Amino acid sequence: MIRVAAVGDVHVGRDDAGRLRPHLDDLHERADALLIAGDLTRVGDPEEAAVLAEELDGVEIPMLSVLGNHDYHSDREDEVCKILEEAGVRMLRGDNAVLEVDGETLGVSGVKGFGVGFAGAAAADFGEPVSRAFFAHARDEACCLEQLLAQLDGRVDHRVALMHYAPVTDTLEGEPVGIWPFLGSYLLAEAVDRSGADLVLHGHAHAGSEAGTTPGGVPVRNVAQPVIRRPYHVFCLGDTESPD
Amino acid sequence: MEIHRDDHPEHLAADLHELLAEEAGELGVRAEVDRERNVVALHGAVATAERVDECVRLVERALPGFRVDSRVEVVADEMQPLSREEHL
Repeated sequence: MIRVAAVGDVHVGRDDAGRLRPHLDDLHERADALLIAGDLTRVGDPEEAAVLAEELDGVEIPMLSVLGNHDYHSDREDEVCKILEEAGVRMLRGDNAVLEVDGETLGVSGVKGFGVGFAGAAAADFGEPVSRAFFAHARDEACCLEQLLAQLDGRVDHRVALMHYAPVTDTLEGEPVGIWPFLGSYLLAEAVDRSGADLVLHGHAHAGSEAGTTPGGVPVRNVAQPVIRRPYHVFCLGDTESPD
Repeated sequence: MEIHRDDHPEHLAADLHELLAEEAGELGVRAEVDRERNVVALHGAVATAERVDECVRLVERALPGFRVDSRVEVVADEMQPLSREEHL
């Protein structure tokens, strides 16, 4: 069994030193890896990333993260990533990471994703160049995810798709329906169902719901901190003796 | 950004949402404007109490004479201390 701790949308600001740290002291006893589903910072300021790096200092398990939309706001996302990489966080920007824990392997495919909406209420590759560019970004993120997950197929025991934007509407319940197209994309769930995964983790939807599934039956969990109201959730993958 | 206090309340609400996103980085706070009572109600959730204060200050500065009724939740205050496990 591999235990994955996950959280998203911690939105660390310059004045947030000490907000997360106390909750992470015993993390290594509870989980084998920490996955962060983007929106690490408030406005993508490298100084905010430095505060988060301090908060994560001393975490003894592997840390993997994707970026969220807030992390791009200052156009300094590369600096944000560099600071966090130096602090030991593996930043996944269209990348796979493979971890080994007690002989079991976990593959994590990480993308930011993007929002164009869901069946019946989605943007399309049509119209003005800026509209087509908007859709193309969402499609590129989804294509990347599909390829990453396919690369892991048969190579690891467990596959997790880590993203910021939501792949299904189940986990958006609670958010105003009018903004769903900005919160996620059916293209992401399509990618997951085509290539397969054991679990999808995302954030972004602060007023959404925790649990859902892709149309193909893959569990989806919204781990945005405003939703889970906890420092993180732990997902036990491959537990054959589940108490449930 | 400039807020035009004589705009229709729906426009004001939309403009305040934009203001809070641009100047406070808070996209999850929405405003409701009651012009008859000169009240702006703020709803949503932010990470800390300081960020609620910042949102209130921004709205007060944009709409002098309006009272700001903050119903914004603070995630840090409501954080359960223990993590939860799910077996998949």
